[in-house]
Amino acid sequence: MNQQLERILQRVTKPARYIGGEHGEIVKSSRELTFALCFPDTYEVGMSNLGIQILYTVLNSMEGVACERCFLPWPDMTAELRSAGVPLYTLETSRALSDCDIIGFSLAYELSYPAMLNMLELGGVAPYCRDRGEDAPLVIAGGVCTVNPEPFADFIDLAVLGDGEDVIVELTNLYRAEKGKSKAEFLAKAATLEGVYVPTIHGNVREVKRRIVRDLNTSAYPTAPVVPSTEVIHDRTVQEIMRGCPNGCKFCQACFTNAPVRYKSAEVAAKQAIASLKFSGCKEVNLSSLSTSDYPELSELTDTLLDYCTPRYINLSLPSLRANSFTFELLDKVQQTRKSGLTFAPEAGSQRLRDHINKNLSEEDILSACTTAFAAGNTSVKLYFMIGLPGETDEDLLAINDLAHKILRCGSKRVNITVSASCFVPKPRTPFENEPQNPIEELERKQRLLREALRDKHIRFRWHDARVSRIEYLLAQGKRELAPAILEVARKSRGPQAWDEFFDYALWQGQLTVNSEQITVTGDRLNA
Amino acid sequence: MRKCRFVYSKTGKARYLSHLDTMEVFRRAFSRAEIALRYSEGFNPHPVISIVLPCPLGHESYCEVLDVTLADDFGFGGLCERLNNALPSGFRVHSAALPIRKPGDLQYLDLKLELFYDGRVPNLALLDFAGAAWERMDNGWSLTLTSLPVRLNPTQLAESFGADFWRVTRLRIRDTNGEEYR
Repeated sequence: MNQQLERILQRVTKPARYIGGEHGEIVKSSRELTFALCFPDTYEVGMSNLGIQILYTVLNSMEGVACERCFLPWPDMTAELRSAGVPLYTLETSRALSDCDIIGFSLAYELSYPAMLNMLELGGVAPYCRDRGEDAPLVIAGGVCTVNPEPFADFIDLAVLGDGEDVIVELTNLYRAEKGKSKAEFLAKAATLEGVYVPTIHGNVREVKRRIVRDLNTSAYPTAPVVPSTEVIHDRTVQEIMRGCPNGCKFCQACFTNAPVRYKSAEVAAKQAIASLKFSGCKEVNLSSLSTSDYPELSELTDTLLDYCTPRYINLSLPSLRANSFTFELLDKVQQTRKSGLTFAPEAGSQRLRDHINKNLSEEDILSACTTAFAAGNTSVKLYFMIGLPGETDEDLLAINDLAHKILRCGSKRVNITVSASCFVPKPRTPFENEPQNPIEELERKQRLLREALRDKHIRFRWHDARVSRIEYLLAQGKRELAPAILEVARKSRGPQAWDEFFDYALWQGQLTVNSEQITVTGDRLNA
Repeated sequence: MRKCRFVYSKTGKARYLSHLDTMEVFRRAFSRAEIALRYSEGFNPHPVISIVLPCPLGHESYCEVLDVTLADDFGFGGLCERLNNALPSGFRVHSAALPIRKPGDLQYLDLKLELFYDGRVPNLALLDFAGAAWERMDNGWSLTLTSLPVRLNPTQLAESFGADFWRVTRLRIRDTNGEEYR
């Protein structure tokens, strides 16, 4: 570490996120190619991302390929790097992004687009593709957001659609084979790979077939993950058990972009989970899936894992469970040491609207589950709803209040309920993709209506900023013309837009108004 | 069950890990090395790990002290090696032994202070600073201080020399008699 960097690290908050050196980090001494694996959010967020760990393992298992990580620095670090003239660097060998061969971004949410550009500029790489010469790194993107890559298409050489672990290897090998030839020649060949979208070649992203890993039992999995030495969002190992979701709620992008449903066998999942726990020393393992209750071998898997975990004080956490009696037997088994709160996502207050969005959950399910949970000693429940859904009326909204009060009566003692309402964002490739989004004023009226209705000292109401959802919508559905606005926001913002404390609606609004003549969003002209 | 005291160094990249991060790094390392620790009783059992005099964030050290209770009565042989194989870069365990002195008996520290000046380097050797060994470097001074009281704040001390950049390294820890703390 040079003294210039030492001086910077002495001044910034949480310097541990900028140094690497963790258990499980891979540093290659000899290499033909450096792949900078980037996540456009902080170290704490990026290191909790399973996709990053999978790609890190896959790329580093290739001979001659050094995959090194890079995350978005916090604004104080950004300012320090800028004023010292130190380019943003990878954690493994402090290599400037501009000195890497391939820069790959994982885009998991729309509001991280400006951060991707911040990282490129800070790393000494021109944000626009057209401004990068033949010697500049190749910039590519993957992750759920590539379902509509148009808003950031001018910044990337290519995008990967669908599961990344196989196609990233093919791309990297192709890049090596084509070394010395022009970028255009490389891209022409890359465009023929399944799951690769090249903005300068393909007319429309829908021409490109999404890449799908068929067999999760044989696909690469990180059983020796990088274990952060400093506190991150999720301090645990993650065990993927399935991809895709059989439920098909009409608003859910994850369901439609991860189809078809694929299961990992309980035997493979248990083996991998135990290997990761042994390697990492973590005290929690999380089974990752979109709908854990639909995993066919859930009993077998949890039994095997509990045999390993319980004597070692390791917690097993199960997300996305459906509310039914089987679930409660399971939770009873799993929560031998700790009792965490209960969370349900009815999404809509009335049965009519739940049926309309294809959310397969009845009021009886919810009430009987709460009764069981309260009888077992739970005292709090969290409920997730979405407002602004297609076809929603004020009666549907007020049904949220009725449901909350019915749940209050399920307990013999007083219980507490948290009602959390997010705003519906019509996402591409979902059955609701062409539905309009409620205007901000309408969403805010609905939030007020609910806030008035839910006045009860045992009910806590939380809601999302409608303006954030509005920008999310524009970025999710936007076209290529959004690029200059995203770059301006990146340059003028005070910090990451995915963080509430830095989200700057006025800045977005100013940028989007300037360009409003060109920006059209499916069925809705922007009038921000 | 058996008490065990480890002495380790925390240098290089590890100096940027906070006290709480360091405790968690060790908890995980014990788990990876399959060295079973005694767990606390109660609602949320956790292993009891205590660091006797935590090193401030950013400072390096060759003499950090960490106490645990081992779950079994196994010997101390091989423990250091197993732990070193499980620790991230910058940590190195030197010894594992039965603790002799109480935490409160850790009274004095030997420190190295490196002071760097961007402009003219002042002649600090002229300062009469008790027990200090001065050594001139290219753009500053290296200063070794012995038997400083533990309550003294090394950051304030470093800043008092008006350097543009400084490094603090713990070299040795001493007990109430000025002997090596064990």
